[in-house]
Order: sequence, then structure tokens, then C-alpha cells
Amino acid sequence: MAGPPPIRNQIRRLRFDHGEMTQQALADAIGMTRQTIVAIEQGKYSPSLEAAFRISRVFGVGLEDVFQWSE
Amino acid sequence: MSIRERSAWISLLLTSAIWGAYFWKIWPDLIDDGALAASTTGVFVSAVVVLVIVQIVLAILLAIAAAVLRRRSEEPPMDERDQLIDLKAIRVAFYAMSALLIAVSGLWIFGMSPLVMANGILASMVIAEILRAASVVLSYRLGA
Repeated sequence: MAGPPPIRNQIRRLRFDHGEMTQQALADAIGMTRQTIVAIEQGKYSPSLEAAFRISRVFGVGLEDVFQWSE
Repeated sequence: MSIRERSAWISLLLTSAIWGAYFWKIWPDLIDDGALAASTTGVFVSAVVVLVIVQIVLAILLAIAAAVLRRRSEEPPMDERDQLIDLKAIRVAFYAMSALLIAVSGLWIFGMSPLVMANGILASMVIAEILRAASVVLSYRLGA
């Protein structure tokens, strides 16, 4: 079974930088569940391209400011 | 824990308990095929009907209890991760049921009675459901 993808994210930091946004608030903003946001932050789940773009648009930053490919 | 994960736990535990008790009870009669009498068929049908009703009623009661106890009044619709977990679990159940049904159909070659084959088919469905629910639980715990 393949391991988790080598993708890091800055969602937790970006949430705190944006008025200490809660996971639920971010989930509501992009139309996902809080549990999915938790899984994304923990690196257990890689969101779809659409979801990744929605997250970056919430924070007003580029995609690679939110997600980074770590070799 | 999301309500979908909670529902999977309920299904897993209920199915394992109810049908595990049934097969534990009937297993001695099944392996000793000569002991099966015509009246056993009626017992089998009655037991299946009763167990299905019991499982449905218990699932409804537990779902109501879970809905009353949960903090939020609305459960959000399935997102992409929920759908992915669901599809993976259905695929696991499909492959398991396919393999088991092929194995059960092979029992015919060995001259097993129709009642044994019927229980084999029933067991295949039960195992597939258990694997589906277990797959959902594991996916939510370990990440999809």
C-alpha cells in the first residue's frame, strides 16, 4: 500500500494568520467537513485540485503558498 | 468522529454481533449436513427474517440516539473525502462478495445441501458488509 503523498501544507499557520480562523470556518468556506480539513492539515489526505484552489483563494495566496511538494 | 464514521461503527458492531451469533448457533448443524432436517429450512427462513428485522430496528434506534446526542443539528453533505472513502469501501465489499460467492457456488460440486449453500450465500453478504464497514472505519481513522 502506498504511503502518504510527499505534500506539506501551511493551512494551520495560514488559519492563525487570518484572524485565527477555525477549522470549521475554513470547512464552511470551501464546502467540506471539518474532519476533512483536519485530515488535510495532518497530511493524511490530499485534496483535489479544485479543493486546493478553493483553500488558497480563501487565504488570498497562491497554491504553492499553501501546498508544497517535499521530496 | 463524524456521523458517517459513527454509522459505520454501528453497522460493523451490529452486523458482527447479530450474524455472528446466528452462525455460531447454526454452524454445528451446517457442518454435520446429515443432521439437517426438513424443518430446519423453516427455522432458517424464520431466523433470517427475525434477524434482519432486529438489525434494522437496532440500527434505527442507535441512529436516533446518535442524532439526539450529537451537538450539531445538521450533518454536512458528503464531501470529496467522504465519497472517496465510500467508494473504496464499496469496492472492497464487491471484491470480497464476488470471491466468496464463487467459492460458495463451488460447494455445489461437493454435493452440499441447498440449505448449506443458502447459508453460504448469506454469510458472503454478511462478510462483505462487515468488510465494507471496517474499510470505512479504517479509512476515517488512518486517512483516505
